[in-house]
Amino acid sequence: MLKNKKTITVFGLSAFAIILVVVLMAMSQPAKQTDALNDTDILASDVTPSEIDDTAPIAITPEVKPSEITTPEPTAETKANDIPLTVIAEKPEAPELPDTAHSDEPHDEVTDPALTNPAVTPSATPKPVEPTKEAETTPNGGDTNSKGEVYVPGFGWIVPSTAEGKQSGSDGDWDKIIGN
Amino acid sequence: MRKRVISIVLIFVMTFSFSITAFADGDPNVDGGGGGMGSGTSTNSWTPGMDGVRVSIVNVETGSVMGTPIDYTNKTPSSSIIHFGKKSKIHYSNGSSLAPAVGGVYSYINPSPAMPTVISSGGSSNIEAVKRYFCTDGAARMIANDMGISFETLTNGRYKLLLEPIAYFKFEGNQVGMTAHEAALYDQQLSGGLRSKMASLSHQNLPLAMFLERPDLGFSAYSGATSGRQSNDTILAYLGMGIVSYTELPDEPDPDPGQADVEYRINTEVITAVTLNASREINPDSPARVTFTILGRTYTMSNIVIPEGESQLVWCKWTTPATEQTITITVSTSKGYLSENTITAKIVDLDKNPPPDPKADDRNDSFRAVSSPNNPQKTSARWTVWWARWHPFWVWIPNWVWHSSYPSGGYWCDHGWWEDQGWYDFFTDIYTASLTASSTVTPDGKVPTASGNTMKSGYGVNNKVTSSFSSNAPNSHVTGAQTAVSYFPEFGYRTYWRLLDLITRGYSSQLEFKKNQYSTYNQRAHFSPVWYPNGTYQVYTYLMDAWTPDGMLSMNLNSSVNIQGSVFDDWHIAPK
Repeated sequence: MLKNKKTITVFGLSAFAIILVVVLMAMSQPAKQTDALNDTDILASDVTPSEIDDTAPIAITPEVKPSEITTPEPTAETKANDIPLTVIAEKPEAPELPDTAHSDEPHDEVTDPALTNPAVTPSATPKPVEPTKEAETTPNGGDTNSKGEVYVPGFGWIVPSTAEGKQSGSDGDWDKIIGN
Repeated sequence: MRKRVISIVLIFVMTFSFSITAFADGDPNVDGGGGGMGSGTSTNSWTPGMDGVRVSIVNVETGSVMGTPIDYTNKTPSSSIIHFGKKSKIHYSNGSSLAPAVGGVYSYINPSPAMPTVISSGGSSNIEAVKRYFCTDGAARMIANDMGISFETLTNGRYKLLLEPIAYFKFEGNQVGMTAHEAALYDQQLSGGLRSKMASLSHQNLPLAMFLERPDLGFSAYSGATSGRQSNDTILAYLGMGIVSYTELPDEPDPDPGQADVEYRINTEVITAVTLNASREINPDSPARVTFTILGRTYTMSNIVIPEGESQLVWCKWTTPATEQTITITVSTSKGYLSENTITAKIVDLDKNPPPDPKADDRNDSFRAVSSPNNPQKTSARWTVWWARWHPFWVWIPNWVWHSSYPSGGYWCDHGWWEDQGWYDFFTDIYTASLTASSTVTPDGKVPTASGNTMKSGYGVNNKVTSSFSSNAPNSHVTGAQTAVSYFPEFGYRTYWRLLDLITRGYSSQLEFKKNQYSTYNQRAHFSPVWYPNGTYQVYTYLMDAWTPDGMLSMNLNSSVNIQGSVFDDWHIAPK
């Protein structure tokens, strides 16, 4: 009896296992087909008409009509289409304060008579500061050097040409119009 | 009624209605400031009447200048003079760079009778007199003689005269002579340095002295303002030139209202450019931003700065769609004003007209070889970009405050501050691009009896086009050559053509014939007709779509094989 029960249990479990395997295989069948299609790297030009399986599933790409194309907002995505023509540089910082300027730090005892006469407001003013002014070493246009060259802005030292003219004319009719 | 349209318009700009002796701008020794008068002793001055005309003879068919241009003037320029050689607007348009002549002789001719004044500084215009002078039989004979060609040759209709006004003046202490085109190029070189001193001459009276009222020799007509100071870009493109023709000019065709402004090829990377003009300074504090809208997509160019009265080419780089269509490109700007706000672009597919299937029994007994075409080509481009740098000028604003000390005394302390009263200095970056290319036509590899470059008719030929695009500009400014189209002698270089495949993209692009559907071996070949006579079989190729902000670069290319015999010579029928 015990042996029969054992046998029934073994057969029952085996049958369940077989059914389970069959069900799982049936469920996994479509996935296998898809993989097979994906693994087959066939270029359109490699397919001949005779090789086309009419029964195979055909992937259809939905046709996008022009009217359905949405215009992207000009946000960060469209920044790739921007050409910055120049580089905008920061403006330079202000120069150091002059000695006569107010400072939070304690001053030395002021002895300059120009700064200690309450009746006369000082007039000393620092000169304007122009840090990017071109150096005075650049020659002026028209300057000449020992080689007989003149300084031409944009091109440097150039030997000028000598102008030579001549007269010309013709015995043609200067009243007859032939051109337009 | 016979329509004689004078292709030059000489506009004499009147800025002053009274007699003056000299102009000089920006010179403190000169009265009146900009456009004011000077005594001629300043470092920047011009004396009215110190002008002339540079005359070039242009071959109408090729568009090239014959010989060396001649400068005519009624005056005697300074014996020691700075000039840029005898180059015309055509030379510069073809890529010549501005360079002062070093030493040597500057030759000029005093014509007799004297020319009318070219650059007027006051009084009424004598435009008709100037036109009349250069269109006369006497002037043509004088110019022909001075150029060393016969009068008959000059006036046979194959040549035209290109006239450019010249000004002789003192700039920065040097006596100089230059055309309007050269003045604009020099001003770009100096980042506005010439305009700042001589604007009323260099950017007004000189360039506006002549311009075209109808397109000619590849130059556009000018319909802009005929007074006021002009930008360098406007001068370079439109001003300071006139053209004299010696044949009856054709009637102007009526403009087609549906005509596109520009034509592009499908699937091609292109540059679409317009000009942004600034009536007021546009500086980095608030730079301009130009927006192009193409097929629903937005392209922008930002950080644009331009000095007052100048202009700047602005553009976008985009890829044309894959199908033929006509589109409208809209352009808008945050500052200044644009040369165009809409552009109609026609997108075409050139791969629609390949030659038909060649047949063994094709015949063409009446064939006569014709010369290969010579389409307009542009192999170099030049454009500039304005940029600005802040020029600080720190001025101390004093604020003296008395500080009392106990029990008596005290001291003054300055509670002032630095105030930046600076300005923007403008500079130009000059960019150039050039295109070189070659076409190599050879017998196809499947031709069994080819010997070197000689083959029998009826076999195929290959065409390998290699291009080299060089530029000092960033990628956002340019594209390499992308399109080539070949035309063939059996069709008179018309009717059918082959669009080449872009095998290698980029600045060193390579193109070849597409694979021929009638080729047994699917070769990249074009089959020469079996009836083609012995001799040169020349394939003409037009290379294009190398884009810059200054327009598209293109080239005419020719290459040939030698035909000896026909494919029938290689085959015979023998009895078994």
